[in-house]
Amino acid sequence: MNANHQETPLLKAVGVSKSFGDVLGCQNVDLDLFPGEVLGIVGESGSGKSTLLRCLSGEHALQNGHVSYALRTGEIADVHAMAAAARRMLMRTDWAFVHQNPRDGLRMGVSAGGNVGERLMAIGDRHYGNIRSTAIDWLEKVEMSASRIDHMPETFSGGMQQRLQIARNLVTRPRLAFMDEPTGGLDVSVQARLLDLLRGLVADLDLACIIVTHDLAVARHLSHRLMVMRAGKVVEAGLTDQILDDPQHPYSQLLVSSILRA
Amino acid sequence: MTVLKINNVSKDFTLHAQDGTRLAVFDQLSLTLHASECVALSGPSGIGKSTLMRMIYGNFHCAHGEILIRHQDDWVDIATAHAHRILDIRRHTLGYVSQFLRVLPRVATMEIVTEPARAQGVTDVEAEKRARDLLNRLRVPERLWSLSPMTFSGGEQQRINLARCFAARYDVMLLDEPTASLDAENRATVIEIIAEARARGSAMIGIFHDQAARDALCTREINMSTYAERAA
Repeated sequence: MNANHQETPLLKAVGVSKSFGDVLGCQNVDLDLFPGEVLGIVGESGSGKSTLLRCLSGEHALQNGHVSYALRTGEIADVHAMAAAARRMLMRTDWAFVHQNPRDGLRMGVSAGGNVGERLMAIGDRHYGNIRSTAIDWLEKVEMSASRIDHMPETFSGGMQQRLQIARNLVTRPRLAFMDEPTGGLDVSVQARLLDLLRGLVADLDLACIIVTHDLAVARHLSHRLMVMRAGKVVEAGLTDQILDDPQHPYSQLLVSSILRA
Repeated sequence: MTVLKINNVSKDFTLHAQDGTRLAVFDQLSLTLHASECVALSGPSGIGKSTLMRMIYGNFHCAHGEILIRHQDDWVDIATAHAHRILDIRRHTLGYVSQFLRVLPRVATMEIVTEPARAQGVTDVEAEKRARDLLNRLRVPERLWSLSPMTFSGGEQQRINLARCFAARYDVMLLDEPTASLDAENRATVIEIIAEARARGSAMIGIFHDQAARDALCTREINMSTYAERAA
């Protein structure tokens, strides 16, 4: 991680609020994310973690607040004021979105190689041989056999589908990844492997990440900083190990003390 | 040269889930540390020795007082510094030898040992050279180096932990019982390795229940009981 407090934040959110009718999503959230930095968002189900993630990525419109992103050109873009086409382009190139359920992030009717190659074509790569060799390279990076390149995602296990989703997202070397419970539906041995893989990729690509998880071990393993959310609000934020080892807010204390030690 | 200044630091824990019970640990503790010094924290178990070290590392919250560390010619207060700054300080200036290695699944011993040095900008070749030297001196058999230490014995994990921290260079090092769970030969080696780091200028604060290690290494002792009585 090269995160440095003097740099311009890659993503900056000020006063982000969103509710669904009477149901509160998230309220008045501020955050700065720096290049190469991994921020974990933890909290119980319904605390607004995923809503916040979708507000930050521009998928949800905001009731209040502002989210800006530093483009590769150096220009600062307002994520919610961007033209739909420009935001889609960003989503396909400079950003990654890893869903808990790989079926939400993969094209199930397209082969593994096609899933990875599609994002390369979106950034203008047209050479079939290059696309295919880059796809093979990425399948190997996520520890999948190159011989599976022409197989459909349907024929893969849940863990393999999740690794394919990650390869598809990272092939364009994005600078920012949004991850919503990336290890959520996986069994423990597969989770450990995926975590290790993610940790390596994040460091190698100098990728900034916002990871929503309810699993504090995942948060400790991957994130530099942590935000604890409850009922739509951030109740505590700071250095990951400090929040997990010496939580100050009553809710963070409850969350940390509720974990069963294996 | 002064490298660490702790000014009037107090610590208590508030247990919100247990009727807001407040546990006072210590009160108004001050300490100045110079390069090449080695200060032993003494006092019985539960007196707050590890708590103080964890506060210096930024792992425990510091609500009262200042913990100033000299970081790349700047003085930074750990108690109020932003998370980014603390991570940068931990990478370059402040090392912490905990009692236990936090092992990540599937990561090889050699990678674990070289990681902090590489993060300081040391080349892969030099980091590996330092790692080999320390692992050899600490009698960790070479056939284990390519394996994850997950299943190694407690003593082996502790030696890997020591090799990892001493392969990097820090101005300030926190040592939490660095010789615990080691046999006599390895204890002597660890004392040598710590003495070498001191000779290079590293300042140390440590907990040494091992009297021989304390006598061999420490220049000064702080009795934590004095501050604990005030807090109670």
